[in-house]
Amino acid sequence: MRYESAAAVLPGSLRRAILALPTEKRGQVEEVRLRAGQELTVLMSGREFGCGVTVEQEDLEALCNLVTEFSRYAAVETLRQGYLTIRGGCRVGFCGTAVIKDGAVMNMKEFSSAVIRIAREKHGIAEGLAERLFRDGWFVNTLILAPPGGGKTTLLRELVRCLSDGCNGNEGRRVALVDERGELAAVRQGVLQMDVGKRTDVLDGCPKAVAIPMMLRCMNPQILAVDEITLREDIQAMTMAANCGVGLLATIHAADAAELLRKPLYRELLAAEVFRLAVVIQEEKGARSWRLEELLC
Amino acid sequence: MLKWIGGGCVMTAGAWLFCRIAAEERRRITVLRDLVAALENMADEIRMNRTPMPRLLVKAGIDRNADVKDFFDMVQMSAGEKGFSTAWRQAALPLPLPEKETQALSELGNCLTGDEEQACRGLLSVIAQLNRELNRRHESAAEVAKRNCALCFSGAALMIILLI
Repeated sequence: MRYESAAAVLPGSLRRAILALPTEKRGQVEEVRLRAGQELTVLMSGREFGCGVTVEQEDLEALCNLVTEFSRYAAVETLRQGYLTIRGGCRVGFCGTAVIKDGAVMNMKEFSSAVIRIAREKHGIAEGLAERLFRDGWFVNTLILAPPGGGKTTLLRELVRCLSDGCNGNEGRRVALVDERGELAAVRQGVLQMDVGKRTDVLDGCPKAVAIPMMLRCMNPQILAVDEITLREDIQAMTMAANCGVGLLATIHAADAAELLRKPLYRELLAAEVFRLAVVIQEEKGARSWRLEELLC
Repeated sequence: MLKWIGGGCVMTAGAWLFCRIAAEERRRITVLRDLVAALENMADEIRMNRTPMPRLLVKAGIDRNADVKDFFDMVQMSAGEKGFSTAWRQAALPLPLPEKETQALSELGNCLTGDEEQACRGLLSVIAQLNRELNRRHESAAEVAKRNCALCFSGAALMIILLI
């Protein structure tokens, strides 16, 4: 379904080329790549395969018009960051000429390339994990660690869903999800395109340092979940949240806890003893698995 | 007797022609007024709520004169197939507007696919132009009505005299 919704936003000949792909291969497509003057390609298992049709610059403009439903003014907040979310949760990233005013990107124009990332939910990958994040009925603040492209966001989404809906004897919790980049819940015109659980409140497109205090004040969460802690302000906000007695779940780019200790910013995070557990995602022979580690400073 | 009946028919035809011209003028004024109101609402919705275009087109056509409603309906139905600017331009052509106003309205489609500033600037410019035309028609309405009346009835009278 998500593959078809991604194809639906492509203009005529490109859509036909994408839909010509055999059904059994569609499930493997991770991205559709459009570059002006180049062949349309799909990314599968880390490699790009051509689709036999050339992308024109007008196709990229038409793609933007179709994705925004001819309302670029309505999508300017995310378009200035270079992406749009489409029905079904897929994300379209754009490259082109940035329109700068007073040092800030106001808009993007004259697109030269685009990528449609096919969103995939993987129900069940957090089986057996969610309940192990509780001690005596309380959620233990947990980090999810993996290198870039390692599956942190997918696992975080599934964990949020499990925690929100409840699983294996644990009752559902109120989860506040700060979805700064719109990748977790993929909110589109107020409708969540991805399943993040029935007790989850989502704040979309807001910087974490601003969103976390808002969620704490307004939504009375039991667990606060965020993706990709990268800034000192994010860490300060999470430390404040921990002092409010809210459970924390977050992701960080790091192969494991040892790598975390080598980065000064994250050493501070560990020194604050905000997080006690780490879920480390590992990949072996194309298959992903996870292991739990205690975080010790 | 036949002459009287014939004269009556010619006079009725003259009256009917006058009513048709008056109705057409009323229709033009209603279209102008409804278009101005619809475009003003669009500008407000874009500025305040950033309402997406499909919803905007539906709202714009509500409680409007049939010509204006058909215009927005046609844009909504054909934008996906022809592209928004083309659909807007083609939908604007059948509207009973003077040539300059039709052209301004047709070109508005290009602005509406831009950012907020571009869309609102385009809308305000077309609104101003349509308002000027609307005011001009209101001011000259009485004079135009008198002229049409004189033309229709004097034409009918002349025909009656010639026939008789």
